[in-house]
Amino acid sequence: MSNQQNNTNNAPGQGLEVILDPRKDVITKNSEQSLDLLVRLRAPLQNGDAKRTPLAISLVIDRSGSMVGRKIDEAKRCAHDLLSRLDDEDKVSLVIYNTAIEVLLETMPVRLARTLMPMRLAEVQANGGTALHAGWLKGAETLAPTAGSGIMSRVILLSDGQANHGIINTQRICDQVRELASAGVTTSTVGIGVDFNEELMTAIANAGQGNSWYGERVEDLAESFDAEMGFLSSLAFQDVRVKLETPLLPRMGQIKVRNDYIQNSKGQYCLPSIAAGSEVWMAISLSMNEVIYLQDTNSVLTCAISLKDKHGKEHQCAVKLPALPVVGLPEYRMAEENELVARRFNEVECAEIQREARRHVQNRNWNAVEDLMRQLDDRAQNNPWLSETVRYLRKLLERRDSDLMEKELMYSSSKMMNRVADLNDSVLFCMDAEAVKPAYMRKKVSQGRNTDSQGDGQLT
Amino acid sequence: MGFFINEHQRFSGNATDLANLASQCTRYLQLPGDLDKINERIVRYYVAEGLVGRPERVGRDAQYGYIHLLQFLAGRFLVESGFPMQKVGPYLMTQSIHQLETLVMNRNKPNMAELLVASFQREGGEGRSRVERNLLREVDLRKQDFRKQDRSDASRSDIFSSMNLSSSAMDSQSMAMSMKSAAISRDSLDQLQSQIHHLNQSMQDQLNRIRYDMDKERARLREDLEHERLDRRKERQALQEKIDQLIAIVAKQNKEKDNE
Repeated sequence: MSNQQNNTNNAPGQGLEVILDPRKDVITKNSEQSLDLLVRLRAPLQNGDAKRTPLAISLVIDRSGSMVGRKIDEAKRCAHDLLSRLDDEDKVSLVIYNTAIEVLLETMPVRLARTLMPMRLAEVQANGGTALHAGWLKGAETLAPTAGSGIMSRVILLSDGQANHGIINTQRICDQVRELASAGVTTSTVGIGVDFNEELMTAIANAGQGNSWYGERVEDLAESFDAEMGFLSSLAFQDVRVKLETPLLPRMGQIKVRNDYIQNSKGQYCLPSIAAGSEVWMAISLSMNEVIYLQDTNSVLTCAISLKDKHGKEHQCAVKLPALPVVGLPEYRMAEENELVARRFNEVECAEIQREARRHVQNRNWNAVEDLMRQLDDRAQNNPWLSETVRYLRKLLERRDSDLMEKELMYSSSKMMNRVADLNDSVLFCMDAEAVKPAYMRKKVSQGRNTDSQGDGQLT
Repeated sequence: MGFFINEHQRFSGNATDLANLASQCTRYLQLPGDLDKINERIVRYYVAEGLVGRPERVGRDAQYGYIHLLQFLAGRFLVESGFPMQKVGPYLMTQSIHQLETLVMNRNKPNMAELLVASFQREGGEGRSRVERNLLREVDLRKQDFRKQDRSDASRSDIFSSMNLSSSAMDSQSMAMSMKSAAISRDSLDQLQSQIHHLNQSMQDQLNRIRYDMDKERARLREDLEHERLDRRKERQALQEKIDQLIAIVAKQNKEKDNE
């Protein structure tokens, strides 16, 4: 990038690298195209002996009737596994819920929980309904005293069914989750099976500034927990907030953030926490004509970034969009595209198409789904990951497997829109290479399946 | 803390008494905020906003106790510390007397997450809206009234049984019927009266709230008006100066003409 030096910020003493890249280094009048920008926040790899952010985790497990059998056994096993991956000084609480809520372990240091958890979990039986909201709230209650004290407080909510008791309205639940996330208690969700409400689970994770995972089969559950724990264990920065300082008007469509990131009461975008050796990113589209009109007088866009490092110390930095040269339309068309920016925007646009396709799958409007799959095919031509994903979705479409397709479309679009990316994120895609990456960074073809089941025979 | 408990834990009084005592305690405990703003109106406003529990009724009077004092002090402390009022109320209602004492004496502020969780639990725990909860509270109050009436009925029938020992069975029965009907009509009147009283109180609360808001609005408007008046005065002065200058210039010109 010719102007990368101007729009790159290495925040001193913290190792964070902030890069702002436009799709092209030039702009033009009346092209009817937007100016696409990619803001990347990159955390370097940590040394092996570096101490990580202390964690406080509340594991909230669904014990409703539908969890009976292998599902509840696997959930218990995952709970033990999670405990083994935490440090002695981390804190953990355990809540189980059906229509009633029970706190099996109050928030306590992990070294104590290691003795108590197996005893408490052994007697848990699955039965009853699903008071998902009340279960989540109890988990959040156990973590509330730790919020804002430099500890990463995270509720991990596991469910395999539809919320059918207490508050069940998605908007109402998400409002509460969002408020608590702003107050320091974040939420990740793990869905299991094909009967849970994926819309609710992804919305909760999005509002809760956490991750959403799902396991289609019992054996896929472990990888969801592995991904979440891997992510939490390698946190480098948290409370990442980006404020877009610009004269452009979002209400007039002059500036648009293409990811799902929520905005807090101060108008800052809440980005996911950044794990060491990974990057989080933000795709922003600006009105090119407005930029040309405004860029002569002052800076069109400044991204003011604030975040906390693993010691809880707050850092601030900013990155500006430099004035871009205005050229004629033919020259603009000939100008070279930044491959990474174009690829990420293509993935975001594919995610939007997938969401539309999901709505048609819900209405069983298969012709419309076919049309959208063709659009996805066109967009996936130069992106092996996308083309593999579309191939898998096509198989589901041929089988008219609406349940699984809805879930795959939802989680796949969510991943493409907000994924945590590798520092060396490239267009090349090979599942064997992905398998050696940490689980939270893997690009998967089938979001609900574990890495070993991603091959061609995954549906047989 | 000991002094505080010994001194006031048997407190009982109306809104004015509570405001006076709260003002003393605020000064003694050096809690933040303007002391002049503590008055019976703010006490009623806090009750209406749910920061202070509803007072007991003794006849037509509202009687506040030690818990109300603690809730008022804790609520005021948290609101002055910048927590939103809508979240403080539900949080305080989940706190025991001991927890409130600790909060007030040691200024142990909860964090925002704790406040939110308490508020969500109140909101969603029963799965009812605020209006529904108010209605249920009303129903509970009615139930209490009916229980009181039952008790008074029972006591009246006891008096009656002791009175008619000398009379015949028939006479006593008819007399009992008539007395009972009189008692029932009196009870229904009492019931109506208490309903009117409740209604009156809730309207009073609402009025207090509106009055408080209007006072604030009026103060703001007065301030704006004052600013505007000041601006106008400055403008007028500026204009006057310009006119004076013009007159001076014209006079000077006339003088020059005269000289010529």
